[in-house]
Amino acid sequence: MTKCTLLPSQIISFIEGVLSNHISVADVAELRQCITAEHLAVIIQKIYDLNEFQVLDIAALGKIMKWVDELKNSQRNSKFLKKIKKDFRSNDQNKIILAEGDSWFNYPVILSDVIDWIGMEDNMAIYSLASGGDWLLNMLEGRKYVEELSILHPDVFLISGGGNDLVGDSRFAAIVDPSGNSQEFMKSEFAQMLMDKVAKASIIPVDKTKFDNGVRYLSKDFFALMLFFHLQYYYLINGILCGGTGDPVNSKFPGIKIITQGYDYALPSSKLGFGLNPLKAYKPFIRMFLGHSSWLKTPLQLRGITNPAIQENIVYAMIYLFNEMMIHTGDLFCQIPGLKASVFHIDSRGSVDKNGWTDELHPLPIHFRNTAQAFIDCINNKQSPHGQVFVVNKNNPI
Amino acid sequence: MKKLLWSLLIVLVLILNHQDSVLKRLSKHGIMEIEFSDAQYGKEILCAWERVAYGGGTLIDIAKNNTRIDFLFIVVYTSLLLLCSYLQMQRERWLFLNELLRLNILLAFLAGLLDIAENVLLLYDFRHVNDTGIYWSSYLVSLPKWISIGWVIFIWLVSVINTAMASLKQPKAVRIPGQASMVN
Repeated sequence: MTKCTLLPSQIISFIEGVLSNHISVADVAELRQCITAEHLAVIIQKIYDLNEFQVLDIAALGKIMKWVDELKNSQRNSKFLKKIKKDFRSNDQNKIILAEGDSWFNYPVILSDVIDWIGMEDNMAIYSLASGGDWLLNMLEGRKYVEELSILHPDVFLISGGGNDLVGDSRFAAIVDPSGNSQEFMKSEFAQMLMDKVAKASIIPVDKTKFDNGVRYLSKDFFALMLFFHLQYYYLINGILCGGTGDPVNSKFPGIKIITQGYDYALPSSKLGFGLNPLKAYKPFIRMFLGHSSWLKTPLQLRGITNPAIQENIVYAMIYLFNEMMIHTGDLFCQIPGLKASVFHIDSRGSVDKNGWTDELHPLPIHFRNTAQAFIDCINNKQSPHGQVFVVNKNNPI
Repeated sequence: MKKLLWSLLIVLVLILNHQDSVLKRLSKHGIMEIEFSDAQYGKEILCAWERVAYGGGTLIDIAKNNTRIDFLFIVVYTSLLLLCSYLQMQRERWLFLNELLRLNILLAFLAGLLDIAENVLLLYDFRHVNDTGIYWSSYLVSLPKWISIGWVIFIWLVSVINTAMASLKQPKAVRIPGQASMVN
């Protein structure tokens, strides 16, 4: 069992290391054991140069968005209750699932998102807390999942978060270095460790040219944010699997499976996507009214990065590193005795082709379905050739 | 929500039907007829309604009332089409039908907008019943409206049948891909 051995002054010093992107892997490991919600709040305030209320304010959902999300969740959750009332839990093969996340898990009405497709499985009952546009910060702060975990005691907990923290409210502009000469990826051991994983590219092949081109535009704050996500996810998973102690004996939810996901290489774009295919007639409407180009393209233009190829490379490097960070975080738990089959990652990298996007961040329903299939395989205990990582098959026949 | 919408729909259909039957009984022309008529025939129908006295006014008043109530009917049936298509989309595993149900959402919305335009045209024509040469035919709006509504209902029905057939075909046991059958 691991315990926090750091003094408060040391914790502050390590947090400064996170913020300046100068921290060793060993120090990150020590910090992980001591991190609290208050520390996480301090880190994000410093990264975003905002106070606590301002951070929560920009992370909060708009009123209309919240209403639409709640409408979708209430429909999903009444379907969940219907299944439960039919003694769903009496069959061991049936799975109770709790989902917390962002728009990949709850896209307003028009798109069938990942949870919609998983929800069609007869042996799965999903209770959803997901909200389109939600920040990981909000999910942890709100702690709604904690309450529902205690009530539902699910077999599986799905989480999708971080995308909006990276690109919501034009934050993307703040984490790039327009000079294109950033060497931040070399400045901390943690960043170096992620870069080593990229070099090995053991799960998803890396396009070295694209990656190298893109990573030179990622600033210190990007790597601080990666570390922040790592600490947030560690805090969340540790809380569920080990009661926050690092020891699974203290878990309130023994046997629970946690599945994360890390998005695909989104495409910066401001095109409205008009076309002749009536089945994609919704695309221009979504692009006109639901934030298209405000997440990636415009923030990059704001910083003077106007070359589309460079814009694409930056997002490529960002998503590649994000997934590696997620896989690394899950790996830490898989090394704890008794938790070998507890944390899994759905890897969508490269599963969506260039024409497969509804808007800048969200793929077409067919790709959401492919990602959902990887989740379904993982939930049903199918074996993955990549161990804890399930790679999304872009040619999934259903 | 769905129950409320269905209840409202039934009440409104009864009211609108009653008014339409009055128009048909006393003038032999119903609301549907004027929706699909050209300028000349439409004007004839309006004149016929104007000639028949009814309840202190004329049949035009009934038609006006019917059109006003129709605005509420539009909200109700459009919401119902949207809701049914959306809920069915949550059950439809076949991607092609799932995509068609998604298109239904746009078509239902479009049908509602066309119906509003149709009502505005009808109200304009009712106001100018005594002005010669003033008449806007709603035919070009009504036709795509009814085609859209028909298509939305057709796709919804096909999908409902498809999912029902799929669940009948499926064995009464848990299907787990990649594992041995759980059927006893």
